[in-house]
Amino acid sequence: MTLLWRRPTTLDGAIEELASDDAAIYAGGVSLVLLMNLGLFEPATLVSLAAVPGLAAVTGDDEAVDLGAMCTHARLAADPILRRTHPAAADMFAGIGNVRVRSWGTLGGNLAHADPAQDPPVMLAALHGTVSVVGPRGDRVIPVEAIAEGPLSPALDPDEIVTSVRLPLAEERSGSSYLKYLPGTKDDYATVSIGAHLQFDRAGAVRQARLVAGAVGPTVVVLGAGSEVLTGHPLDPDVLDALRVAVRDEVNPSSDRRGSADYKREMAGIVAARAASACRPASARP
Amino acid sequence: MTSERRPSRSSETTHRDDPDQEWVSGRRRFAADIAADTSELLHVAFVLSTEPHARLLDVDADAALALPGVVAVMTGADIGLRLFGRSLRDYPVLAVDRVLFAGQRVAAVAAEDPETAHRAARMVDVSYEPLSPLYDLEDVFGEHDVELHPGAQGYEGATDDHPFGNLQGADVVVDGDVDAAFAECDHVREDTFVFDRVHSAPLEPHACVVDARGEHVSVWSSNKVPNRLRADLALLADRAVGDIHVHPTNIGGDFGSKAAPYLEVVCLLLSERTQRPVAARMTYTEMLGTTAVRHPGRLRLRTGLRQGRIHAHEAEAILDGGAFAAIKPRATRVVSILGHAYANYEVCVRDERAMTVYSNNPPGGHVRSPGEFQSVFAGESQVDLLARTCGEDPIAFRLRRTTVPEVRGILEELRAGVQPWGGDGPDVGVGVATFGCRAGNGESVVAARATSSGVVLRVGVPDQGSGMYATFRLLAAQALEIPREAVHVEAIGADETLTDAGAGSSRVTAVVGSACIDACSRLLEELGPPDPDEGGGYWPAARLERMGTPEVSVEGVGRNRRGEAAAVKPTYGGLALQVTVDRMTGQFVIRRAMLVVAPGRIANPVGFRGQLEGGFVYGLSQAVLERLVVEQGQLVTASLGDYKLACIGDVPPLEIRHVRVGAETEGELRAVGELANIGVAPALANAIDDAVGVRIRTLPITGEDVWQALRSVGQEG
Amino acid sequence: MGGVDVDPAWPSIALTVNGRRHEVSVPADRRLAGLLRDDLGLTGTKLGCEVGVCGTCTVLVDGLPTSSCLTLAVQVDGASVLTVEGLAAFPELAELGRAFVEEGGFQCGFCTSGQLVAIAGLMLEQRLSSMTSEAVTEHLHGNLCRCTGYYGIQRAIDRARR
Ligand code: FES
Ligand code: FES
Repeated sequence: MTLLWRRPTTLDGAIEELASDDAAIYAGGVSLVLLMNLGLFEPATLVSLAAVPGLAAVTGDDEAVDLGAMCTHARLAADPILRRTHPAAADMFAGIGNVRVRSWGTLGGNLAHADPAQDPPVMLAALHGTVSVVGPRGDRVIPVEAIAEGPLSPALDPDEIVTSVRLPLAEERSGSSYLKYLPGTKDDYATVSIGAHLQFDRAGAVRQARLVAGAVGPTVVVLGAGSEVLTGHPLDPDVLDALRVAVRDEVNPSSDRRGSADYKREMAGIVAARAASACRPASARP
Repeated sequence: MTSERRPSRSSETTHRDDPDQEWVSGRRRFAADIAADTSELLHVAFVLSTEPHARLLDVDADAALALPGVVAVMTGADIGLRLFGRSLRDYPVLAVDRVLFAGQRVAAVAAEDPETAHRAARMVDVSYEPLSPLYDLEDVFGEHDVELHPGAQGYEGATDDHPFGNLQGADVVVDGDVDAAFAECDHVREDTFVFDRVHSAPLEPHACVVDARGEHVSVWSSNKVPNRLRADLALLADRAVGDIHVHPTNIGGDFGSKAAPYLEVVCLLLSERTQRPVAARMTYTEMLGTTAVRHPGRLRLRTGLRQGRIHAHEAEAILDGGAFAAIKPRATRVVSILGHAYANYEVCVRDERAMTVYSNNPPGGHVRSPGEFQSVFAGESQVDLLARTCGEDPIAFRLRRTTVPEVRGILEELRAGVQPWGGDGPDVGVGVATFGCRAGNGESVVAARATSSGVVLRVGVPDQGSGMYATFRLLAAQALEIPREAVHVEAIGADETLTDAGAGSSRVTAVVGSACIDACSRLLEELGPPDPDEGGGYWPAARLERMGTPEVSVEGVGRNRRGEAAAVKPTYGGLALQVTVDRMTGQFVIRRAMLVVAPGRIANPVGFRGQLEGGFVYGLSQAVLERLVVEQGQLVTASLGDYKLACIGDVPPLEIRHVRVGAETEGELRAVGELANIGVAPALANAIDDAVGVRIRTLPITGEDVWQALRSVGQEG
Repeated sequence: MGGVDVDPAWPSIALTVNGRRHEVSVPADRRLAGLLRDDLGLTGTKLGCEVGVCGTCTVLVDGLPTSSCLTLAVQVDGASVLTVEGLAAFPELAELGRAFVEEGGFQCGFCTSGQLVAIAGLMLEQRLSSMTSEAVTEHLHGNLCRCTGYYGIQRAIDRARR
């Protein structure tokens, strides 16, 4: 079977090309060629988005920033707008994989890869991100955490294309953090990762909390119970410990090379507490 | 990141191999690079068994052969049973009627390009009839009637003592009645240590190019033992040894994996059949799943003290040898795992036994310090536990019981070195270990020729990547008192006129290096000694002219026979690590490391330091990260994405110190390649115990293990 | 700029490699590493893991460090590629090569091309000297070396930074 390479210059053109059998979107190539190299994926046609205009921009308005799906991780890590509006997200992008992955891997490719151990879906879901998708049956917007149905199974039709991610601007007195627990080598996916976004009231109590965990399930997990524990309380040690217990009891990981189910569950609680603690706005930190 | 303190800095210069540029310009060529410039080449991809244990019913290659670009498919049925192996020939180059592990080579496809070869290999339809598998030691020793090698007695190299069907081999070291000795002890402790499978994981996957079109066969290969490869090819492909030329080829790291003809025999046969040169290059997944692994298994140590002295020591090792014994060179078919625990201490009575069994796992072989890594972990961990029981400081305990002057010197240096580390906060600990490295047995011949323009050393050992050629040049330059630029080292590949045991077993510097020195002294016999009045420089030029001869040729021999008086002395080392442990997560961080060695003669300071530093990180990586997961016979950690190696961000600051004990050791070449890696695991386990009071007896040591151990004693944060 | 996709199975591409322009037709699934090694004979770029982890295949594409094992040749149509063979053209990198030799920055040499290209990328952008050593280390997380333990590489970089 010979592989065909298509390089449409419009989104509609790309959607059309994707209609052929076993066609796949080619963004940066890192995840896709990796699967091809391992013999796990053999597409018939690759549809490059490189020549489709307008997919690699970062734009902001007074409600949100929009991150183009074809932006590379390195581009986002260095983006002045994102760095100002969502510094924790910019830091997260700066810590993905290795420098070569960051040079070529794209936001859209990463989300469509639907790997629950990847960093972006965890942090971006914590920041209430939404994904814009276009396709032959119309456009839609889905929350970041809903983009995956399971490992390597995106909740997208094969001819749908991720075009951007929208992150609402952070509220006043809020803080975000992303913690990746790497007990072995620094060059690895997380054993557990937590994205946290906390909003505080004037007194320093948590008004609203959103915590999302990675690598503890088939998809990223929005920690409902964990967030509930924090709401209405300052981040004192008792509350953080209650958070640890709540998160531990909420997640249901399976064992993998990076940790047993038991260990991941316990670590999710500990890392969640540490991530929440790192969300304190600078003024509120001891 | 490393700092060194060594007493005699002045005389040591830093030099690397020539031509230096080759290394840093991308011109250094490896086997796969030869393939890239060979025309008319066919590429070979192997069909690997997907079953851990099965009868092979049928190999249907029709679909693969129909793929455009596919030239030939070769199966075990085509070539019959051809067995390779070092001390026991039990490993077929292609499976014939049964497969014994998932990953075993079943067929090979030759095609015009590698992509087509791999695609076609996936299209070869193999029918299996699954047989009951033996996945681990519990299975092997459990109730079953599975015999993996029913024809074992017929293998070349088979011995008579074959107490049970799935035994690969056994080894024993006994010097006294250990039961009687234990009865005399006032304190006895027993610990069982368990270690997982790891891979040697050089960065270069195995590769070769074979051209068997004419009368002669040309081979370029990443195989590190060209002489044996040549003999194997002759035997297994029915060619005269003299027709086979194995060209010297650079090797991109070995660490024990590149000693078997996994690819070359089939490539030779395919080249004969297609009358084209053929090349094969393993994918990294193929290398991880099909080439030798460090034996997983367990080691039980029982050690007794009598009035404070180590009076009785018993060891029992049971190792999973995987599907074939072929990769192991020792006649016992057990890696060198006995005699290393407590090797540096006075022990009154020893009784050590080891056995290796067959299973349906990837074959066990040699990975840098094939048994020492496990046994020194066990031994040096238990020494610490004994010290603890006696209420003694671990360094003091060792000092009091060592019989080796070098080890005493090393321990004293370590004690002084870690002094300023102390008292660094809670959950911080320091651990030490001592160890030794013995050069492997072997003999090498080096041919030396002095000409008007320089001295050429011809060696039969390939440069497998430890900078040894630079060492040979420096040795010759020193022995002959000529500039190092005037010495050239030539690899001659496999050649029947030169004996060489090949690279490995840390023997190269000591054995081939001694052969170089021997050859140089013979040259001096022929040429006469250098004469200061001749003005230095490359003095043999003028000497040859006066002698009226264009050149002088000699051969030198180096050998090591353990146990002989002239055997190469071991190199000793000691390592101290400081760790911090996070009680909540079990995560530990090595904050600093100090490696002390008693090195003997250092021929090549840059290479020597590189072996220590590289060995340390190799050991670190295998102590804390590496685990080749094979579940139900199937490789799980199938790429470097899952089989993790230490990266530059993982290495702690390392200080290296040298100690010199006695003037007589200064001039001797010793082994160093398998020294530094074996101390890391025990020093780390000891440091973790020192920090948080839990003992890890399994390898690799992970944060999760520490967390589990803390939890089991109710000590987690 | 780029070639015209007349044949989607065998696209034509134009690229510059080490300053030399090439116009070639390649199968769509040819990896950049394969193009460099097999079609252009530039075997200094090595193939190790083929999953983007080891870094032996590192090249610079328009200055960006790239795993040539995970990049399709068609993807770099119109780009400028720098491989280890091209580093000699930059006199400012000479000290780096020397330092690798003298500090023990390699043993078997299989990772060396990738290490040098990764570091050269920083030097050519004049970033190396201003980066913290932690940042330089982070930049090299994806260039594995199984032989040296990285200490010699670190010393060589320290020298090149000065
Ligand atoms: S071969 Fe490309 S990163 Fe390893
Ligand atoms: S020098 Fe061998 S892998 Fe780096």
